[in-house]
Amino acid sequence: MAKGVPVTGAHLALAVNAGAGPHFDVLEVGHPMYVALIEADTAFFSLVPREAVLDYLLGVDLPRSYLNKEAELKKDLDNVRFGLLPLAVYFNPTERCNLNCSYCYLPASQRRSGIDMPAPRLLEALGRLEDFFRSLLPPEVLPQLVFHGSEPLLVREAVFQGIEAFSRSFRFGVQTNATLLDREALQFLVSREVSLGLSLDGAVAEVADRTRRTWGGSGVFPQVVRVLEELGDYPHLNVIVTVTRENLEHLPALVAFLHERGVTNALFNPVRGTQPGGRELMPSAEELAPAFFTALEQAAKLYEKTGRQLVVGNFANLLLALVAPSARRLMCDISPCGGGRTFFAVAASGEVLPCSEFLGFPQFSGGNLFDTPLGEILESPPFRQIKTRRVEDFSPCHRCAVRHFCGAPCPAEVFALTGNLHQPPPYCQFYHLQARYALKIIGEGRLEAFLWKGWQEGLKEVRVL
Amino acid sequence: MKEQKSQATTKKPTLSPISLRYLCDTQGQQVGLSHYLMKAGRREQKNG
Repeated sequence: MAKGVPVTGAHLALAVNAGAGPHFDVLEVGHPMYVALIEADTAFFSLVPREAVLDYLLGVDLPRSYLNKEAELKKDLDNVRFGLLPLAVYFNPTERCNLNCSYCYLPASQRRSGIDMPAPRLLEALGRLEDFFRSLLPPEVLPQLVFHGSEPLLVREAVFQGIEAFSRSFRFGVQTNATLLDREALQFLVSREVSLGLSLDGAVAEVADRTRRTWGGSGVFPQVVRVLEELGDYPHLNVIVTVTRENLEHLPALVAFLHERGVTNALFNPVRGTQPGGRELMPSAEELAPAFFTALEQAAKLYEKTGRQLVVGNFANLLLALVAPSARRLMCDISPCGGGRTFFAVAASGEVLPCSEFLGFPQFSGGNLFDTPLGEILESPPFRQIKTRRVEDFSPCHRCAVRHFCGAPCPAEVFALTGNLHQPPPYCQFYHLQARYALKIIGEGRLEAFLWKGWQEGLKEVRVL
Repeated sequence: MKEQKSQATTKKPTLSPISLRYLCDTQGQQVGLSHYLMKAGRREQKNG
């Protein structure tokens, strides 16, 4: 070996943050004993003792162990980001809605007096979707079709005909405001094990009715609660809560309310600013984060007290993104997002868009289901724009440690706010704080309190450290 | 006994790193929905 100036650091191949070595970001997670080291490109994290963080970064054990598994981790993440097949459709059988919720992502003109898809056309559309999925998916896999809105039960007869005629070809769901769910409709849907999603934003009318009202301005809280109590512990029930400035302080009460009524799954989705009404109701990250975390803790406390779990699905999904990124179930918090890739939306006109959030942006239509093959639509330029939106390609997301636990959602919202898809998310700070909170929970050994039972089934553990 | 107690109080606790990671089969458990969950978001098989 040539003599010369001695080089410090004997293991250059294992040096972090330079050359071909792994790149570890250090992230404060608010845990008294742990901080996180994150290799963002593979969504790998390790919580290491706070006082030993430099030993891990400058030693050889962590980089060596990590590099031994890097290819496997990368392949796994790449699969969920780029390799999945479409598996779900959000089907909008009508543009109309009997409610005028202040934050709806659909344009008010459509909701007030838009078009319906007639029953024969709906059946034809489902037939085309059935053919498409049959040509794509393994025979044992059922695609999911969610009748979504606007309010799908305004065209209940057409929807029920579709469910009846295609019960062997899809796993059906209906997302509804619950106001049209009479006993007969409930009986039909429950007897066919159709997944039901109800929307509710508060535990009392005074809060719930602030954002969810009829066109005449009346609240619908009693109708929703009646249905909720009728459904009881129906295993296919899911409640969607839209988190706004109007109900932030009341989220723990809503958690308790849902838990008391046997609800086991809920989503607490921060309102999107896709339309002006939603924009006005967006809370700041400083307001949103503590309120959201308080709601999560309320759910955990009730679980501990009663043994019955109410899973907050969007947070559970983030935990999965950390510990099993390719097993995540929701595809908003990853880039590219699932829009146009793992799911797509069909409008009442037959136009196909990457996601329901794009229904107010006709320039993102990939074509019409009734005259263009779905395979072609999914490869159309508008779809490709969404399917290729990657956090690596814009600032500041490209250098963010939690970029693959956040995904910079949502492209429709970002586009509505900035006119450009390649911008960071409006809730950037919240997503960052949420990822830190999730890591803190893992550090506290409380993962199971927030995740779905059996989340590890079918998964393979990889030991890095 | 006295010596043992002294050792216990001066010994620095060793904290292990926490690193959890699970892999999923290609086209495995993924469901791929947006703001909606069906039966806790699990993929369902035709015969399942």
